[in-house]
This record gives sequence, C-alpha cells and structure tokens, in this order.
Amino acid sequence: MEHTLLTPTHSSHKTHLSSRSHKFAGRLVRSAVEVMARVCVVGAGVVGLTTATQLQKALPPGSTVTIIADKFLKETTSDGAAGIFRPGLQFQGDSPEVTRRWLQDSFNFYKSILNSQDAASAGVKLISGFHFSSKYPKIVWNSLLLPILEEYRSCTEEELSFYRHKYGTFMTTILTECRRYLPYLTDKFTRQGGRIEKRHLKTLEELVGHYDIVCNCSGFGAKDLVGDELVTPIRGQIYKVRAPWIKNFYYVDYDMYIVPGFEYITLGGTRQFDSYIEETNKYDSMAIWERCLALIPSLKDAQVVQEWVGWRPYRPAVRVEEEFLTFDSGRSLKVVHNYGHGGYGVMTAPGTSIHAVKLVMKMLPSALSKL
Amino acid sequence: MVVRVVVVGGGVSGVGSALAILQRLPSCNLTIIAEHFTPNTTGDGAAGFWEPHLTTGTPQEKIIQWCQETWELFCSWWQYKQQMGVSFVYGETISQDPVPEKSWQHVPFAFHSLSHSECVKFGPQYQSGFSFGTVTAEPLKFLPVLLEEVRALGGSVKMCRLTSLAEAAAEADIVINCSGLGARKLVPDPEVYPCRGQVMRVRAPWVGRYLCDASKKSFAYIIPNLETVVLGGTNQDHDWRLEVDPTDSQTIWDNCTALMPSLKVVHNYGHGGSGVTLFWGCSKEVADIACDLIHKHYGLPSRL
Repeated sequence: MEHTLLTPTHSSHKTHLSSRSHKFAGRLVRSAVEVMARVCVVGAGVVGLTTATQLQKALPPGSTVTIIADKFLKETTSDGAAGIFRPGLQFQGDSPEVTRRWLQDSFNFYKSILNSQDAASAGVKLISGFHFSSKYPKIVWNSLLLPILEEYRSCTEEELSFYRHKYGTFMTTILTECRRYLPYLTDKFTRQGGRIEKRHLKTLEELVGHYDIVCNCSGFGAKDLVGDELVTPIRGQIYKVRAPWIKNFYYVDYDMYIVPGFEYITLGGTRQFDSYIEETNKYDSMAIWERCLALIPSLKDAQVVQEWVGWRPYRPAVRVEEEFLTFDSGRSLKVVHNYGHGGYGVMTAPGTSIHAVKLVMKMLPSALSKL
Repeated sequence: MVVRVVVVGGGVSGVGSALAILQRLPSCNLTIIAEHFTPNTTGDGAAGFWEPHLTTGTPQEKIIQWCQETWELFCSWWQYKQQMGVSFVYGETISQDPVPEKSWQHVPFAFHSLSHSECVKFGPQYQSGFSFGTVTAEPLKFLPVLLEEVRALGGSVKMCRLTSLAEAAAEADIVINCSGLGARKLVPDPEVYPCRGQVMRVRAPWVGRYLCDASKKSFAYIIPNLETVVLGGTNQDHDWRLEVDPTDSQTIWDNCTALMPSLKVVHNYGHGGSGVTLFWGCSKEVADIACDLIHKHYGLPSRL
C-alpha cells in the first residue's frame, strides 16, 4: 500500500510510534515513515550545511540530522570562496537538464533570501559587474547564465573604452559570502535541533549501525573517504583586501577577478589543476596583483587583509547520486553523495542539496524497513 | 603686479573655483574666505550622486558641458586616486509617474529605459524607469584633498563670516562669489532659496547598487557611498530647518525599506544634503571668466 510522505512541522519533540496512527480506507495503518530516521551529513562546508538544513525540512518528525566533520567555518574551503553566482562553462551534472535545474533551483533559492530580511545576516547580496577580454569575444558570454539572469548585456563603447578592453559583458547576479552564510546556516541547523560532531572519519564504515542514511558532502575529503580518484584539487590563490570604492565585480578572461564581498574584496586568482601546494606562492601573488592593478590602478591603495590558498574540489561531473555501499566486513550503508562541486560549491549548494535530499527521501523507506 | 583673488565660500563650488583659478593663474594671490569649511559645508552631507537636474533658467548646453567635465574628473579619480572618495555604481530609477527624456543621457554609462516588466518587479505601481552607470563622489572625502592642493599651489584659507561682498572686495582685485545659500544675504539675491534635503546614513555594506524612486508619492533613494549607504530624501522649498525632522525620518525609512526589505535590519543615524554633479565644470568656467576679467583689467596674460 502506497504511503504518502507526511510533511513534518518544525518541532523537535519526538513522537512515539505507538501513539501515532490514522485511518486509511477504513483500516488503521501505521506509516513506516513516521519512524524516526537518523541521518548523518559528512562535511560542514557550504554543501554539507545546506544539505543538512534542507534535510531537516524534509525528514519525518522526530528524525535527527547529525553533521560530522573535521573542519568548520574558517577552516573550510568555502570560507575563502568569493561566492559569486557565475558558473564556468565546464560545470556539469550528469546531463544538461540536471545542470540547468541545479543552477535555476540554486538561483531561486538565493533570490528568495535576497528579498527577505535575512539577506544581510545570511550574507546574500545583489551585485553587478563585468566580464572583459581583449582577445576572445566568445569568452565573455556564458550560455548557462543567459536564461537565469534578469540583466545581462554587452558593454557599451564607453564602458569598453573606459576599462580598455575590446569585448565585454555586464550583468547583475547574486553573491553569497560564506563568512556570513556558514554561521547563518549553522545557527539555523542547531536551532532546528541538529547536532554537530567534530570528528575525522577514515571510512564511512565507522557510521554503520549508527545512521540509517549518510549524506556524503565531504568535498575534497571524498577523494580519500570514498576512494574517488576523479576528485582533483584546482589550487586557487587569492588576496582579501579592503577597497570600499569598488562596488562591482570584474573578470578579465578567466585568470583575473575582482569580487567585492561584504567587508572585503577578493582579488584573484589561479586555477592550477592537480596542484597540492598549500602555501601562498609569491609569483602567484605578483601575477594577481599586477593583473588587477592593470584594470583598476587605484587598487594600489587597497589594504591587504589576507592571502589565502584553497583547493577547489573538482570532479569532471558533480556527483549527486545514491549508493548502496558494501564493505569488506560484509556490512553495508546507504549513502547519498553530494560532492565534487569544484569552484561552484557556494553557487550550486542549494540546487544540488535539493536533489540530494530527494534521493534521501526516496531511499528512506527501504533504509527504515529493517525496523 | 600680483592679482589678489578672494573666493567667498568654502564648499564644493568655492574650493573648486579656487583650484581651477590657481591652476590657470599660479602667480595670483588667492584666499578662500568662508564661515564654513569641510566637514561643515552643505556638500559634506551629500551622497554625491552624479545626476544632473536641469534647472529651468540655466541653458541646457551649459549644464551638459559642466556635468560632462565633472564626470570626466570623477571617473579619473575613481580609476587613479582612491582617496578622493569616488565609487562607481549601477542601479535603477523607477517612477509611478512618466519620466521625461534626459538630454544628458549620453554622458554616464549605458543609459537605457527600463522595460515594463523591469519596472513592475518593484511593484505594479511603477510605470517607468531608467538605468545608468554613474559615480558617487563624496565631498566629505575630496574637499580636504582639494584644499591641500589649493595650499600647495600657494592659496590660503580664512575662516570668517562676511556681512557683505563689499567686505571681501576691500582686499581683493577680483571676488569670486561661491557663497551658495549665503548669497541670499551677501549679494543680496532674494531669488536664492533653500531646498531642504534630509537623509540618513546607515551601515549596509551589502548594498553595492543604487535604487531611486522618483515618484512624487513615494520619493526615496538608496545610494551606496564608500563606508555607508545614504537613504533619502526630501525636497522642501523655502524650508530653512537644519534639524532632523522625525516625520521625514519615518517617511524616508518606510519608503526605502519598501524598496529594499533587506535594509530593515540596520540601525540608522544622520542628517542632511544636496548636489555635486556640476562642480568641476562650473569651477573651470569660473576660472575662465576670472582670468578673462583679470586679463582685461590688469593686462596680464590670461594663461601662464
């Protein structure tokens, strides 16, 4: 007999199985989904936190969501992200339709925060800016953004002349700053009854028997955690500076960007495929500085606050899929993966999380049927 | 002979004119005399949003020439001299009333009208609108720097309240009258009157775009400056009050938060202003006129 999933209300009190039952076609039926599900989210970056808060909304009443991670807030890769909604053209899911849906769902999600009173505390803002090139006319147009953005046009002659480039586009998009967004999500998660455990997992097998379903949002950590050889670091180096006279973002080709956040401007960058260097490199610093100043000379007076290196957790396609993991010991675990977002984690966390949560909900009845 | 120039007024026009004259005629003996200097001039409260308002009496071509020269100066400050307090911003102006054609629209960047759907996304009552890229130039930031340049070129500054222009003329060969509202008494010119503007400044670093409502019913503007965001405003002719009016504060707050709900979380503080868009163009013209007069009366070359 088909059960429809009940949409749970936001309550943290647990309901006992014996006290809940309802009439269905004249017969008393116990809905399997009223059993409390124990779900674990591995990873506390933007993808882990977004998935965890989305799960809290979707799971049946009395379920628990626990985040297990070894890095939080400033320690995460997400912390250094500029957070701008602007996909690279190589960004993809398993199909063009899935990719488009992730992008649109994510944009709609951030837009609703933007238009609410939560915008400032969540770190979400509207931002306008440019993409210039003097060599490649096609590079300045992004076919993934075209159907999503309300404002997206070619630059005028005066704009091109002012910034001294041959080709350029102007657009208005959204930016999400993780230095505000991660604390905002963490607060939301804990207020809704979520638990956080600081722990380094060597294998997902450690979670067998403790959780009904595990959401693997471990980012770069998935390379070791689940042995995914396709996960590759793309090393990014940036400056965070104070330059309040810069209100728009600027990209030149793909190598250079200036992105104003809430307090600081991100100057970047590098995209070094398969590089494991953790320290800042002085030649990268010089290249970033020179390219940014070539566009806006007044940046020479910007106050440098921080230099930072992060590894974008790249995968040829972002992995959002379910897996029935079996271990050598014979034990098994139901997993939904949500990792490999590369440089587009902040941007697509909502859309991929919505997708991952749907997969969790689909897996839930069979995961709970042992009880 | 050394020409003695006295500039009356220490605001944007006064300091601008003094600098333009000194750049043309470095040998002159120039003093700025004013009751108020930055941070106490009218301009110091201004958001400094570049947008000409065509006053009916002044010829349009002049306004366009002056605003263009000022535009070029502000743009170069933004690109090269961050300490001048200039930001470059994009945004929208929307209105419930029809919006007239702008003769200056070729000056700022990417001026275009908004489509109907672009207007109504702010509310079904908005029928028209336009958008352009522009600058905000804060006199509070650039006046001190310009005063330094005046001093570096040999000019001096005297804080003093004049009762008439004749008083200034006593020690001058030529007087440049940049007294703003003070001209009403100083000249005297009864046609000069105040248009009271009240604003509040808030800390809202996520606002990087401007939004203006030009409707008569719901007039409001949200303009990002360097460190703060300016919420305004009022246009009260013949209103001399310098104190903050709590009714105006409430109206400004209600209108701005209706346009941008994310502002509701900020706390606010502040007080009131006017316009900066024409200052450099006018100053240069003043320098031209002054130098021509000096040339005619004293036989000195009008350019050195």
